[in-house]
Parts: sequence; C-alpha cells; structure tokens
Amino acid sequence: MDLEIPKKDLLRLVSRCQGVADKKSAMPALANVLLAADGSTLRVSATDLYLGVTGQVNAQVKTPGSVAVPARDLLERIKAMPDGPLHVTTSEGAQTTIKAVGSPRRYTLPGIPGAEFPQLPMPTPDAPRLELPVDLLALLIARTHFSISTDETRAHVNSALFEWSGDRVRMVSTDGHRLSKMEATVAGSAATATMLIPLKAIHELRRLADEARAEKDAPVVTITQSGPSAFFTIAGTQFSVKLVDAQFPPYQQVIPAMTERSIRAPRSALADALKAISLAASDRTGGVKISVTSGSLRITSESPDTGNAFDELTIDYDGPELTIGFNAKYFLDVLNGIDDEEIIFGISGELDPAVLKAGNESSERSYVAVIMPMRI
Amino acid sequence: MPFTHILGQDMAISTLTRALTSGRVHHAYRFEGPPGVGKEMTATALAQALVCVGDDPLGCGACSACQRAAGRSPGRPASPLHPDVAIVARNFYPAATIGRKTDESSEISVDQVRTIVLQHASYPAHEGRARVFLVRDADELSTGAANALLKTLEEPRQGTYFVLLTSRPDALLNTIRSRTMPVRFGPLPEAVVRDALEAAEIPAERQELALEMAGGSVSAALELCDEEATEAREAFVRRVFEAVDARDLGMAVTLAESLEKDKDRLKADLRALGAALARRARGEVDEAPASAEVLARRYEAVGRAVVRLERNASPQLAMVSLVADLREAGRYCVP
Repeated sequence: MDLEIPKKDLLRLVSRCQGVADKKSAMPALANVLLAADGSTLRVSATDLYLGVTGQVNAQVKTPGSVAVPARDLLERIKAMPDGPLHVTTSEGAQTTIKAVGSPRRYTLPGIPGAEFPQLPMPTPDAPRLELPVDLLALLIARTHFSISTDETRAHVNSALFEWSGDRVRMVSTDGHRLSKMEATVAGSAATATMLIPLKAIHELRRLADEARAEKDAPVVTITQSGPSAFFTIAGTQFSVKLVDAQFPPYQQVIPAMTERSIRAPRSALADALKAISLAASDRTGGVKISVTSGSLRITSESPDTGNAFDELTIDYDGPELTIGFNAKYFLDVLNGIDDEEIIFGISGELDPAVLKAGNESSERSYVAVIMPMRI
Repeated sequence: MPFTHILGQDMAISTLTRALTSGRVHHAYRFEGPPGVGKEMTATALAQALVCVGDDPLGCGACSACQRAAGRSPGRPASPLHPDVAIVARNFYPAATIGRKTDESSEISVDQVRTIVLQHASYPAHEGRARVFLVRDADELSTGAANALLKTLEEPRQGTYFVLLTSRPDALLNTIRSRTMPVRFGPLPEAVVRDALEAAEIPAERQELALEMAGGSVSAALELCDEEATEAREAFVRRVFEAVDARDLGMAVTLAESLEKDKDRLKADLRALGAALARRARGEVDEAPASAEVLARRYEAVGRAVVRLERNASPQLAMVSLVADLREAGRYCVP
C-alpha cells in the first residue's frame, strides 16, 4: 500500500474508528484499525465484532493494499504529525510507515496484513434501504434508551426494538420494571422493518447522531437491514450493528389500554421534587411514595436508615386518595427524557402500573412510559 | 483437507467426518483421551470444516476462513485469527480481558465463561457460517463456570458448536457429561509417536525410553526427550532406590522433605520410577523370576502412590509411605 492523504482527513477517520476498536478484546487483532486503499479512496474500519465503523475519504493511491495497525498508536502518531499531506506506505511483514510530506518526521508501526483482520459485514446490494432524519433517530433514542435492560445475558431486553411499519417508526425498550415507547410519523415514506438493536450500539448511534447534528443542519440517516446486521450511514460514515436475533417481549400487553385516573402535572416541578425526595430514599431500592389527593400530589420517603422526606405539589385533580410506591429513578429518567411543560400521569390502583405521557400528545409524535409500582 | 494431517485417530476422525458429510454435526462434542494424542488438532480441524467457505463439507484447508481458523495471533492471548473460533482455557486470556483482577491459577473461572462464551452465544456467527468454542482441559472448569455453561451447552443457537477437550472425563460434572457427545481418542501407535520424534530431530538413543514412557502421547514423548528433565528424573529414581536399600527410613524422610510442591512433576517422576522398575523386571524375569516378582509388586506400589497423589495426598507423606511400601515388597521375597 502506498498513498498520500491530508492529515486532517486521516485524523478524522481514525479518531472516529478508535472508539470502536477494542484494546482489551479476547482477539488481539480487534485492537487495530484496518486501512484499505483501493482506486482513489482510503477506507478506515474498526470493529469489535458487534459494532463496526467504516469511513472513507479520497486519497491519492499509488499502490492499493490493506493493513491493520493498532488504533491507539496510530491515532497518537497522526496527531503528532505536522499539518499537511501524509505519506503512508507498508512494506514486507505489514510494517507501516507514516511520513509527513516536506518534513523529516516519520513513524514506523508494526501491523498485521489486512487479510488477517476479521471480515466486516457488508450489505447485499439489493437490501431494502430506509431514510430517516437524524433528528428523529436521536429523539427516538433519547426517549427510550434509559429503560433498556443492562443485563447482558438477556439479549432480548438488552436491546431496543426498532420498528417501521407504513409511515410510522417506533422504538420500544424495557427492562422488566419499566417500558418506554416512542412513535413518530415520517412524512411521505413507507417501509416495513423490525430490528433489535443492542444497548452498546444504541449508545454509539446516539453519539454518532449528536456528532452529525453538530456538523450539518438536517442530515439524514440511511438504514439498511441485511442478513444478521443493520447498517446506519450518517454523513459518509457507515456504522454496522449486529442485531439481536431474539423475540422482543409482547410489549403491547404491558401498556394499559386505559387508566382510572389521569392527572396533569408540571414536568419540571415534579422532577425537581422527586429528585429532592429521592435523596432520602434508601440507596438499595430508591423507593418513594407518591400519593394523590384532591388538588395536591405528595411525595414522601421513609426509611429507618436515612430518615424521612416530604414534598407537595399543587395539581389539577379531584377524586379519592391513592398512594403508590415507585422507584424515583424510573420517574426521573422519563421526566428528563421529555421536554414538554406538562406530563400526563395515569394511575389505577396501588398495584397497577403507572403510565406517563408527554403533555402535548399529537398523532404525529406519541410517547408512552409504563412504570411498575413497588411495595413500600 | 484439514483432517488428513491427524494420524492414528481413525475412529474419532471417521465419527466426525461422517457427521460433517451427512450435515448432522452434534452441537457439543467431548473429546476424551490422554494428553498429546491430537484432540486439539482434531478440534481445530473440525472448526475449520465448520467455518470453511468452500464447497467441501470437511473443510478445504485453503480458503481464508480455514487458514484463519487454524492460525493463532502472536502474543497473549494467542486466539484464533478467525472471529468465530474461540478458545476457552485456564489462564489463556489476560486477567483484564475477562474482567478479573488476578490470573486464573487453578481453574477456568466463571468470568471467562461469561465474557468469552455467554456474551457471544446469543448472536449469530460473525462471518455467517458457524461459531465454534474449544474448551481446552474442560475438567478444569470451576463448578460455577460449568454450571454457567449448562444452558448454552444444552441448547446453543443454530450454528454454535462446542468442543470440550479433556484427558480426565470423570472429573467433569455429570451435567456437563450428559450434555456432550463423547468422541474417544486412544493412545497413538508407536510408529506415529516415533515419526513425531523423528520430525522433532530427537537423537535415536533418547527416543526408545521416551516411547516406552510416553504411553502413546506425542507431547509427553517430546517432554521426556528433554535432556535436563531426563537427568533430573534419573537422579530421582536413583535416590528412591538408595532410600529403599538404606537401613532405615531416614533417607526416605530426607528425600520426601527435599521434594518440591509441584505434584505434576512428582507424578511424572513416579511414572519414570515405574518405568524403571518395569524395565528391570522385564530384564530379570527369565533368570531370576523371584526378583522380578518383587519388582512387579514394587511397580504396583508406585501405581498406588500416583493414585494417592491424585486424591490430593500430601506429596511428602505419599513419598515416605511409598518408600516404606517398596521396602515391604522386598521383605517377603523368596530368596
């Protein structure tokens, strides 16, 4: 391999890939990034076998070829190079030399031949493609990512369900104690897709979406599902995710069709009060009691170890009193995930799940969170 | 074809090739047999056949997938280069890789099973063909690790295969044994071991003894040919004979106290002692049958000592008691 490429292009690609390359992997080859030069482009990829990132950029390729070099080492060396074009060459035994054009500074890195790097999944050319505004993808993730189970041995809930049917897209996640579902309409688009995206990939997608939004005004993400993987292409970077091959729990059964009482409450005041009371809640359970009475919502916490706490909010409610125990953290995650001024809080009995909805429900965007009660 | 490199294990190979050609490969095999007879080579060949992208159901051995399945990364861990072939073995991975603070000194930890096997078991193979886990010395799985593996071992997802290698199948949990299909590997014929020693350029004079003691295991034979180890073993045998011929047990106690803690080493030394006794007995059986009988009884005593060590006896006590037994065996000899 022999090519010339501006430092800033190479730096951008390698630093994006470096996050995915896994230094502590059980397979030492995965600590590398793969540089593959072909035609007039350089492709830079990294993978941990579950996530893969591939970026490409134009470069002056004199001799095509591929090599894998340690990601961290390469990144540090590129950073230390003077601005301007870099000359990258590989010699026998995958030794890779990076030299700054017009400067004597030069590094040589031991690498491995590109053929020894695991193959990256590629979408088949006829795989269906979907297009989604990045903003919408970011919104879907922001409202559901917190309720994904962190239990890695239960892959079917250690992931978010992404569904596309007709012009509706939907993301659902649950950890057995709570569930969140975000749905939105994509104007002028119709497709069918169902995929379970693992938690690790959700985090990475979130980061990628944030970066893309910072760079461009209204970017679009292209989603391709092919074989066991899904491919997300944002602003020239292809991000491949190995999907979970399992059955997501039948979530529709969990969401109560209706609740006996429905209460409107100011979102930020409620979040503030819950946060304050949860300070006094036991560390292990985080349980607080929420009771609604005519005109007010009381939040209390009692614990022999950590003492008591009490707060009260004025709400628009008229009906019998009801007290339910909840984990305050579950509420706070939901309240912090939405930005409406008011929320709608639906409850039935003290052992029935609570339903939280955003105040400005519309047919275009709808959000539901279900939180199971706890006995306190 | 990868299987053709494996010599002297025709039964095992034919079981596996039959399964591969008929497309009915069991999802969990247990390769049983003494160490150094080709279990891991066969398991690697099976992994190659399963991930091969060519047309041959037994693996072509030439495609990139086959070559990477057999290739190993330089350095530690020396994992296979193919992402769908993983090795589980005690102390194979650095402690940080499997989320531990210390190395695995005596058993395969549950941490390793979780990070290397369970985390990956719910996903399909990376390159799409099959995923193979080779568990080296499966008898070293800790009880927790073995239990963590049970569910996956019983019903792995489509295209996931396990090969458990062990030289001590009875040391495995019953629950593991019942979930795996045994494939037996016998000791190698002498000619195969001799060829291996020839290939390693061992001088002919050291081959004979090694062949006799190795019990059909190439790795044991190669170890036995090591010059330094041979001398140490001969010195041990000499000292035991001196202790047996001494007037009292004083020398036996001194010998026992000078032993190192390493039980495996002591077992190997005792096997050398047994071989020396057997050799002498064979030499004397025609001229002095009575003395050969003493030697045979002493040989049995050595066998008992090895068993005691396997049952976790103290090496020092086992040694003193062995010397006492050896002396006892000589006492009833009919002159």
